[in-house]
Amino acid sequence: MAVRKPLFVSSGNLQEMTTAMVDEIVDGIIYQYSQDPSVVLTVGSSGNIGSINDTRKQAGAQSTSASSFPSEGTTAEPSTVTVAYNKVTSTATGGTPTADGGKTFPVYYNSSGQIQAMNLTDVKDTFLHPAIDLLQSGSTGTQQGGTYTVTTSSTAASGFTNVSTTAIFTDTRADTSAYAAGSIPETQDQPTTITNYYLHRVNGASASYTEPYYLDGSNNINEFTTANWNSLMLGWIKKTAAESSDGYAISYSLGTTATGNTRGSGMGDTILNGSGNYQTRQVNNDDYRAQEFPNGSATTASTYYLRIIKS
Amino acid sequence: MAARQITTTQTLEDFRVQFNALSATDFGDIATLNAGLSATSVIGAVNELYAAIAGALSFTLSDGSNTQTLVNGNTLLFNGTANQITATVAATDKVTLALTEDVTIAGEFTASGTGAHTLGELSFTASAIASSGSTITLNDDVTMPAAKTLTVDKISSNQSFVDFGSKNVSTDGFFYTTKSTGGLIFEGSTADAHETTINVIDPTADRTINFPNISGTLITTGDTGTITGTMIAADTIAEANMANDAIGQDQLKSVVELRILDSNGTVVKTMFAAGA
Repeated sequence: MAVRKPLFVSSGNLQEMTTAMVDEIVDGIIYQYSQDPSVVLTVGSSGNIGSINDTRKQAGAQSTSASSFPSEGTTAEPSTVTVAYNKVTSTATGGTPTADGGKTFPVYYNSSGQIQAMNLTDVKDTFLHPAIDLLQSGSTGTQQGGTYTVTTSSTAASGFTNVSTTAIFTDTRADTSAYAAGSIPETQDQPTTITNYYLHRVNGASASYTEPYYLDGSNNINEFTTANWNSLMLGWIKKTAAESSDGYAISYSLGTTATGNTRGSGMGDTILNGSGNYQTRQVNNDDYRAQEFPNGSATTASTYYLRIIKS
Repeated sequence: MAARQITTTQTLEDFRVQFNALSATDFGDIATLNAGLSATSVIGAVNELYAAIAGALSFTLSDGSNTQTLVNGNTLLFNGTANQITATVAATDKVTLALTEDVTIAGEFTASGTGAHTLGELSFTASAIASSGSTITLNDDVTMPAAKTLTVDKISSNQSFVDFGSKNVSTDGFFYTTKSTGGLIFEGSTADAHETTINVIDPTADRTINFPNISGTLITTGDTGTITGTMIAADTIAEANMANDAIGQDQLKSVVELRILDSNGTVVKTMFAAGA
């Protein structure tokens, strides 16, 4: 672990940045990432970060008899309908950031009091990994800009951008009010939507910070321009988030259990817990019908989460 | 002319010839007698001359404006004038005029001869020596007594400089030179082809250059390695006076190093500074 204190000029003197100043730089890197994230989630017909199931009850098939109502025991029980949702695709594009040429990164005072340029390990420990730690946290504030969360709103709330108006998961249950004995045989699967879940991207916030200094081609100490520093750090945070090989790559998953931090609303798969609502219908003297409709209270069969993982 | 004589043996013709010769040659033609004489005979003329010589015959002396008449019996006195001329009468009939040893001339003295004029000491009561030519040449050393003043407007020389010998040249005023390249030339201790010249760049306004009140050697722009630190006032060397890329670490006090390393730990630059 080699967290460095980058140098800046204060009253004409080269001075080490405070921890707060370094944190501001980290926030700035996060903002750059939020404008151009390298791990992107999209919503489509087929995803790659996990399939989650919506389950609901449907009525059992009707039973008929010419002489009397079929008994409850012989009438088919309500069954479970399962709809899989696998709509979220993750795409990671690391790119090719500027490699360490010896004088690529900010300078700091080394243990001997000399001015030295950071190497990539220093930059990771000082800027990139702290930025990834924040991005990967379970919060959904501006320090998580460019990462994703789930809400039940189809429109973006403040601080978020709606990725798609297509729900990534819809919790449905049997619509018990739709079943009527007089209509036996009822359509078995008559669901109603309980909750839709949508994917949103967290917005970043521009952060002011002090540009650090670096060694130019003549080995003079120069201040990074804002554009150069932002470009350099954006390249490396994107590379780190997408392709880090040392435990700081960002990925997402959908499921019930996984490592990582959950994001946004848990997506509950609710289902009626009744054993069946036995109903009969006599159409005429030789047409006796019975069917069991879904009934019971809504219970949560599973709760799915979007998780952001650092690995 | 001998006295004419007629011997006894001579003829009358001889007598006539002699007589005519006597009349025409020896006595002369009466017609040629000076018109101032009224006599018509020799005797008469002799008498008339006698009367004039012994009587009223006189000489008139004149200097052009004054006249003096000398008559028979007067003495012509050659007296001369003191400090001017003396007259000496000598036998048998010579008067010698000479300048006195000390001559005083009230008016101007002109010696127009082109030869040498040999003089002793000259004393001038007036103030000018003038020449009708362009130059008065003094063909010997000229010495003026102490404390006397030689007032001149121009001094020239037949050589390339005016030689004051080993004497100092002093003035209560200024030394001027108007020649654009003029100045002071120092021969130095060795009389050779090498001199040191002090001159000035053409002034465009009045300038004053003061020599400091201290002994020493002047420094010029051509000098190298001459100025010492003691000649420089403390705290006066400004940034603009320092040459670029001139200060080395040896000039820093209690030098400390600041090294700049790249991300590989390779020193890419070392800076030196004065320590605390």
